[in-house]
Parts: sequence; C-alpha cells; structure tokens
Amino acid sequence: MNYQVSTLSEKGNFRSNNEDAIAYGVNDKLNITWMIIADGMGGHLAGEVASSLLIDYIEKEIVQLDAKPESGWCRWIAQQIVSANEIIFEHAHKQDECKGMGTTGVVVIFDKQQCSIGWVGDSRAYLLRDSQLSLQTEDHTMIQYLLNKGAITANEAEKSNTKNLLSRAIGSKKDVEVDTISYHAVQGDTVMLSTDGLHDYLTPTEITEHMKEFASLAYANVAHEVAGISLCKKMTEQAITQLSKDNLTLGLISITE
Amino acid sequence: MAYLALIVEDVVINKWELNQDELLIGRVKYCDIHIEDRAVSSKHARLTVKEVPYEQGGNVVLLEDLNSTNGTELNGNLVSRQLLKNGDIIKIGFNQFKFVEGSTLNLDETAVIVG
Repeated sequence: MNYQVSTLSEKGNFRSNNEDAIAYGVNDKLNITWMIIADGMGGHLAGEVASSLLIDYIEKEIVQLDAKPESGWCRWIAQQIVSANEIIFEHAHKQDECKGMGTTGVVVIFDKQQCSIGWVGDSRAYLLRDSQLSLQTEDHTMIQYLLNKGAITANEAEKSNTKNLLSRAIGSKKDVEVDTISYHAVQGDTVMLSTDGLHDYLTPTEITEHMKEFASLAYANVAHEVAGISLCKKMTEQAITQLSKDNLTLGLISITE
Repeated sequence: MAYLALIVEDVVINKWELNQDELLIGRVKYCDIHIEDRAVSSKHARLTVKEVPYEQGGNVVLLEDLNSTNGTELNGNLVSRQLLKNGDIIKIGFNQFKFVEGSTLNLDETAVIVG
C-alpha cells in the first residue's frame, strides 16, 4: 500500500510555546507506516518535555523493530505507551520543574490492510471512508466519563466548558490504561490525527471537507507535499479564526493504492 | 477572579467567571447562568460582586435567593442572603455549584488530569 502524508504543528497565537508534537515514518524492513501525535501538559516547559519524551520513545522503538510483534500491533502499541508512561512519570519525579507533567498520545500503525490505533487522552484519530467521517478514538475526559456512566446528559456534555479535564494522561500517574482499536484499511481511506486545539474548533463537516480535499490531492499526486502542507495550514488557520487559543497539530494520511 | 463551578460527582463540568457586577441564575435563557432543570425557578438566585472598600482589587460575592419555589441551599442550609467564602457549596434545584475564590481553580491549561 502507498501512503500520502502531511503534518503540521503550530504554536498558535496565544501560547508562548508549543507543547504538541508529531512524528511519522516508515519502517522499510517491516513495511509499516506509522504516526504519533502528543499534546503535553504541565507548567513552564514541562508539557513540551512530556510530549517529546513520548514521541522520542515510541519513534525509537518503532525504528528499531526488526520483526512484527507476535501478539499483534494493538498490544505492542499499548505496551510502548505503558513503558513511555513510566519514563515520563519518573522524569517528572526527578525534576522539580517537570512535576505533574503529562501528555496525551495517539499512535497509529498501518501494516498492509490493517490499521492499529492506541491512545490515551483527548487527542484523536478520525477516519474518512466513502466521504463519511468517523471518530476512531473516544476521549479520555471527565466529561466523556460522566456521559458514559449516565451522570450527565449529552446536552450537558455539549455545553460543558471544562471538556479539557482529562481522566487519563501519559506520565501523570504511575500506571496508565491504554485503549486500542484495529480495523481493516482499504484504498481511499484517509486518517487524521489531531490535538484538541484543532479538532475542538472545527465542525465535523469542516473536518470532512478538509479530509476529502486531502484525499483528492493524494490521488492527483501533483506537488502533493506542498499542497498537503498548505491544506494543513488552512485547517489550523481556520481553527484559530474560530477562536482556538491552544497549540494546533494534525497529521493526515491517505492510502492511495 | 472568582468562579462558580457546576459539579457532578466532584468533577467541574462547567464554570463561570464572576466578572460582572451581577449574575442571574435561573431557567430562562437570558440568565447569565442558565440551567435547564424544572426544579430551578425562572429567576432563581443572584450573585452580586461588590468591591471591598479600602482594599485594592478586593471583592466579596453575595448570594441572594430570588424567592424561588424550591429555595437556594448554601452548605446544606436554605438561605435568602449570604456572603460567599471559598469552597462554599450552593445547591439550586438538582444542581450543585462550588464557589471558588481568586485563582485557586486553574482550568485554563490545555488539559488537566483529575482523579
């Protein structure tokens, strides 16, 4: 399978630093394509440290991998996030300025027809297939938690202005629970990983339209790299216009054949 | 800046900055703190933010029940007028609010882990 990829991470207009991070690559030996996104949190520069630690750790592990995990990609992703959690948690306890830091994380791995996703926090993975948008991840937020257990209504959840309260994060506690999902990928699929500074400020319709445009660029294959980044830029600018005050990061992957 | 936080199972699901002289709490849509709950009166209660004389930037917040049908509870007792202090719990209908003074409640981070 062939993939077209574009990513962008922006500080935005209000934050003094960018606590988001994104990375992607191909492990040629295993013929897999991967992407990871993270949104750090914590005072001073700690958020940046947490998201970088996660990205660096997962990237190192994927690059070094020379055989496919026998237990499957979902389990492997979950194990790597758990290991990264220990590293970030220990780092936070050794460095005073990093105390309380943590990060969200979404890892996606494409292996032939299989797409495997593991995540913690409120960064997301969307799938566009046959022009239909579907959210592949479920936010680990307190609002989602209360909604799932029926303590609040969908209307109350929608109106909440504290959706940023996480119920899970990587590195904030000694242990972390990772959710995973795996599905059969087909040609024409487009996946977007994003942080809340982006997806909270675009409507599902707007996200759909942008992803459709990315998919069409991927097929046209003309100056795709420039056009892809330009589209990512258009999305972050639209989110900023629609009052995003956070860092904004997204990664788009289209399967072209 | 003081806040009023709507709490469900110890989680803040909504917060309002008390950044104007008066805030109306009630079921009608034009209320500053609009609550869709039949146990809440149309105009149920009012919060008044008053400057403390001779104290730069110092404010006090007064809670007043506006003759509501089901009353306004402060820390478990029905009240008609009462000055609020940090951590006070206000119950209006089936809704529980926490009064948070100053900047003790920081919800402006990208993400905060709770629990």
